[in-house]
Parts: sequence; structure tokens; C-alpha cells
Amino acid sequence: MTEATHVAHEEPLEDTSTGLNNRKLLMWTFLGSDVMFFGAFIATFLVYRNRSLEGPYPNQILDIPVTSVSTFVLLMSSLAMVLALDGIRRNMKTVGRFWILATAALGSVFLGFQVFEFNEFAHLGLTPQTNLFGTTFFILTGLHGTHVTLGVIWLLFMALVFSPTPLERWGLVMAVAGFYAVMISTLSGIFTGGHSSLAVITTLVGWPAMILLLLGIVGIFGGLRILSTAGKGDKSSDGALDLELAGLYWHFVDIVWIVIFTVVYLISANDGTPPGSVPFDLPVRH
Amino acid sequence: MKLITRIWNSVFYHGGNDWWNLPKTRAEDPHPPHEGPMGEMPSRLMRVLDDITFGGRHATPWFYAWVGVILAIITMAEVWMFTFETLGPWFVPLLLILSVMKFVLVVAFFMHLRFDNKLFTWIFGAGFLIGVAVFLAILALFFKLNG
Repeated sequence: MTEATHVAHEEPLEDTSTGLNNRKLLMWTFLGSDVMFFGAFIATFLVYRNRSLEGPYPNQILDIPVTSVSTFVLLMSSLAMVLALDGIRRNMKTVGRFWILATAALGSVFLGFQVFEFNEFAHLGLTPQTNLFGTTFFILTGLHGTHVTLGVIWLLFMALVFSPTPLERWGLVMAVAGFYAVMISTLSGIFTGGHSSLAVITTLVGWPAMILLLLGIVGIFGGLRILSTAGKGDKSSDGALDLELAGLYWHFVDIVWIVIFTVVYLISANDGTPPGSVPFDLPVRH
Repeated sequence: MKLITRIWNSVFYHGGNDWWNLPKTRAEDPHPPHEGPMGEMPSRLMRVLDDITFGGRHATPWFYAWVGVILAIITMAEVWMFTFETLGPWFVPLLLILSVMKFVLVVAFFMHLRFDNKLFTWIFGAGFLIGVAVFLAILALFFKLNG
């Protein structure tokens, strides 16, 4: 491994009392406090674990294969994020921007999985009001989903920052709009098959959904084509710190999910009916 | 801490000749290299570890990709353990160990704590420890009160 293959870690000392960048220090402090925030909700989930007196119970509705895929997607988004920062630090703006968009896309797919899961659970009779499991589950995973949503918005904003010219912004808008068109048309297909109550999405069936899907694919490829050529000669690595802060937030969201996946899904998935609870029959899907 | 260091040195190091009557070797030097019960091995191990994990410098994209592969493999192992249910009482402890491994990999390499100033590690570590303490306190309090 030669020195040329990696970026030397010689960050200049900042003119602050610690010699470190204050924004980065603030971000790490915030993340430390967010550990306490999520720690309290995870502890609450565990305290009320297996104490629901009414169904549905975790062993009836948690779908580990589906959640495993979404976990994998979020882990890979973390990899994409670190590659984005690496690209920007090496002054390769187009590479960095591609990975930023990949991170936002993978984060959005994760959110799509969460929407799918919440919708399934609602149809099976589990809502935040149903029982203790429903309350603690939806609050914990919902708060995590909110963090992911904020992260996706932040990343899309960063992609915009790294696309300064009008042509680049057109390419970015095309690619992002195309991606969400594909996502909405795909979700509409899934929800229509699953008898969803999400009326906004399920109105897009048949030809409208197909046209949206095709337009979305064209938008993705067209947008990425523009982004790969526009601004190619730009070697500036300005904004690397901004992206690093967004990255720290994104990785934090990932490590929270690592804990949630283990505690809420894998460990609790076999929880059935505790003593004194009422047996529950899942509704039959038509 | 100083007391522990002094006891450790007096028991295992050159200064401990009163205890162990170590043979006279080059360890008689005022500051002999690699002195200790395991000789050169710990420092050599640390050097290798430092080299592999890019201590003090940023890693390459390939290194990040390898970390991603390891994370994916650990996740697959977790799902495999859940699916085949052959581990009995070891299931939960093993899952927690694998979860901690994933946590450490992401924090150390993806969040760059391995490469960054140690103050960031201390700040995040402090928040993390307080968070874990609150977490354990809530669990202990609840189970103490409710059984």
C-alpha cells in the first residue's frame, strides 16, 4: 500500500480552543446525546416486551426475511456514504456526487420497506393503539424512520450543493425525480396486490403506473448521464466537511438500526402470548 | 492508574527481578525494547493491526468495501442463526456480540473515529456510556419493581 493510494490524515488545526472544527465537535456531541434518546426508547421497548395482553403478537407479524433485506440496504447505504466522502476528498466530484445519490436512493428504498411493513402491520391489526408491542414498536421504528427521512433530505441537499451549474441541477432533478417515479410506481404495484388503504399510491395502477415507471427509468439514466459529464473537470473539494457532517449523521442512523434489528426483530420475533393474554387470530387477506 | 502501572511493572518487568529473579539479558538496558512477559509479540501485533486498519491516515475505497462485505456477512450470520434456531441459550448473547461488532465497525471505520482526533471518540464514548447506563438503569428499575 503506497502513500499515493490513500489520503494522508493531516487535517490542519482549526483556530479554536480545541484545535478541532467546532461544527464537527458539535455533531459528535449531538450524536452522543442521540444515543441517550434512542437508548431510552429501546429500553422502553424491552421493558414492555412480551407484556401485551391482546394481539397481534410479534411472532405472528414480524417478517424477518423482509427486514433482513432492508437492513442490508441500509448497511450498503452506509458504504455508499463513506465512498461519497472519499470521492469528494479526492477531488473527484462526479464520483462523490454519484455515491451521494446512491446513498439517498438506498435510504429511500429502506423507507419504502418501512412504509410497506407499517402498512402490512396495520392490515393485520397492529397499530400504535392496539397493544404495548404496537405502541413501543411504532414509536421506536417510527422515530428511526423520521431520522432516515431527514437524512435523505439532507443528502439530496448535499447533492444539490455539489451541482453548482444549471445543467448539473437539471441532471440532478431528472435523476431524483426519475428515481422517485420508479419507487412510487413500484410501491403502487405492491400495495395494489396487497389491498392497501394508501389511496394516493393505489390510484396509480395499470397504464398510469407503467408510464410513470418508464418515465422514471428514462429520468434516472438521462439525469445520471448529464451528471457524469457536466462539471467533470471541476476538481474542487470544497464542502467536504459539510458532507462529512451529513455522513456522520447517516452512519449514526445506520448503527441505531443495527441495534433495533437485533433487539426488536431478531430477539423479539419469537415472542408469543404471555400468561393471561388473549389468543389472537390474524385476519385472512383477500 | 499509576499504582496499577507500578504493580504491573514490578511484577512482570525488569524492575520485578526481586520477585522473579529474571535472567540477565539485554533487558538490563535502561529502556529495553519489547520488554514484558510476551516479548515482542504485543507490539508486533499492534503494528500489524495498525497497518491493516490504517491508523493515523484515511483508508482506501477498497478497505471500505471490505468493511461493507464483513458487515453483510455478519448480518447474514445473524439471520442464519435466527432461521435455524440451533443455538439455544447462546442465541441472544451471540446476537448481541455480532451486533456490537457491526456497531464498532461502522463507528470506527465508516464514521472515521479510527482515523480522527481522539477527542471525538471520547465525546461520543461519553454520550454512549451515559446512554447505556440510562438504558440499564431503566431495565433494572422496571424489573426490580415488576419482577
